Amino acid sequence: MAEEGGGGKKHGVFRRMARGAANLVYREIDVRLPVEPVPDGPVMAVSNHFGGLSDGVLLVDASPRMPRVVARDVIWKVPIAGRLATAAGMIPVHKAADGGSRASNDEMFASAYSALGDGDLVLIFPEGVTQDVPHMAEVRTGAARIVLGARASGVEGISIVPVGLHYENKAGFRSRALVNIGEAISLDQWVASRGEVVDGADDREAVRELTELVNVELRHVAPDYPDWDQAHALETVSGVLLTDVDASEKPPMRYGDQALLASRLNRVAGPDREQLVDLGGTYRSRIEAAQTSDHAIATAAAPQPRSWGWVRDVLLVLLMAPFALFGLFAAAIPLLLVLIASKLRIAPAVRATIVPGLAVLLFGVEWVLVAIAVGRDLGGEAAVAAVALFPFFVGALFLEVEKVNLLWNQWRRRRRPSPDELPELQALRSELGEKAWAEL
Amino acid sequence: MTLQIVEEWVLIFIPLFLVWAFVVVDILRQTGLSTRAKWIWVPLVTVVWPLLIVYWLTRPVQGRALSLSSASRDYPQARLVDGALDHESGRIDDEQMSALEASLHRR
Repeated sequence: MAEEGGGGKKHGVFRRMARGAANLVYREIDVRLPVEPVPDGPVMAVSNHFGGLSDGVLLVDASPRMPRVVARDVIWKVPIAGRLATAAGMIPVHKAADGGSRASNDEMFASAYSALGDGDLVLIFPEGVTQDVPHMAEVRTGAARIVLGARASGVEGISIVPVGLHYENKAGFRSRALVNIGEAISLDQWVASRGEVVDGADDREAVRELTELVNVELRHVAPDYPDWDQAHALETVSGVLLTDVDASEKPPMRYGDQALLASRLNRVAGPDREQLVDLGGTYRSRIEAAQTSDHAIATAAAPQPRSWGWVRDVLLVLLMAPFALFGLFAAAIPLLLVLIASKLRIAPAVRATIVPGLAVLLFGVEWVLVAIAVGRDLGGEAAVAAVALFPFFVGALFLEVEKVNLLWNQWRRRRRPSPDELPELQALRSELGEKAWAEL
Repeated sequence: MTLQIVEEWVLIFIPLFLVWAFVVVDILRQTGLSTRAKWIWVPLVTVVWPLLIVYWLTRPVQGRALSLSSASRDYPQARLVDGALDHESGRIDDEQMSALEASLHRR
């Protein structure tokens, strides 16, 4: 796949911005690739829309090519954002709720056909709106109509690629995320296997069938839990399985693995799934009540060999402390404001837009201000050094906080329940584990 | 005087050295740069340190998906996850999944 699709080198600046924002906002980003590589040529990527601006940042950062994002035209009504959106090759969609009409969306379809005709990657969020529940809204027909219309206008070899975005805490700062790229659907093969002539974007039956296929494939890669309790229960079950496989201190469990396995368990059919949810929910609440961790229960009977990895972490924390302190001094104001924004009592999807936007803006402004202040006091060469070193000091601060947090959690999760509670928790864990392993 | 020297080392020289080392490693590991370009960049950023910034602003940025290698998922927990998903999609059969579970499950 080409390195710089969708408009070529001019989009390099947006790739850099997305990479910078992603590295600033998330401490861990996993990308799971499909077994079969995504083909070259025109691609329609469809993604769940849980995190507002965060979704766009993660998808641009992960994508092998710069995507042409189909987005609501309200973005263009904000002066600077509108110019940036146009420069990034985004395609405005006019919704009836925003005052759009059929005629105005003909332009959107024409732009999307043209982008696919140029072999670009077009990205659409087929739910149309962001969600604050752990499951997707109804998948709308836009993606199907675009690809069928593009094919009818002569574009061949279109692939549809479902992409699932999973967040540990979508509105959190320095949280973790997973980009789960599904297997590509070949539109030409789908049309051939359907056996009927497809009459472009106006073929209602073909649009309905293709939308249903997109719906099924997207729900397969995206989080799709009925409610948060069930999501947390299955994540607990997933954590039990992963701890069974490796209960060592290092490496810590990756969020991507836990989310993928929880999604797999979520697709277990019938009463077996309900049983897993019940067991996972009960085990989770019992662990919380006993103020212990699954790791402590898992290793109570068969203690793991003592790891000395924490010594290395403590040394690193001590060595980085002066740099981290200076990072705190240099970036205290943007850090404080971003942390406040991440705790605002507003819809999480809105916070997931505000946090990355504010983080990039505030840390960027602070970077410039620090360089100017240093240059004014110490001269030009010092200003250049400040430009080079500001990200280092901020990175040292993040590393320090995250290492201290890791060490604290490692110490906490060793805390075992009382001898009275332990046998019951072990029995519950064993029952849960047996059931979950059997369902894989 | 001594305090000033310590300050200079802690705030400027050691951080600049670490940034330089980070950038040199990045240059050497870049897949988007030719060997010739790497041979040009390493001495440039070593001799003229402000070029560290120029390199960082102009370095090739690949999609995160492209930078993944097969080794990035070669650890027991990832093998379980990938095996469970492959089993679900029919890429591996019940026997292969059981063998994988037996090799991973240490209870």
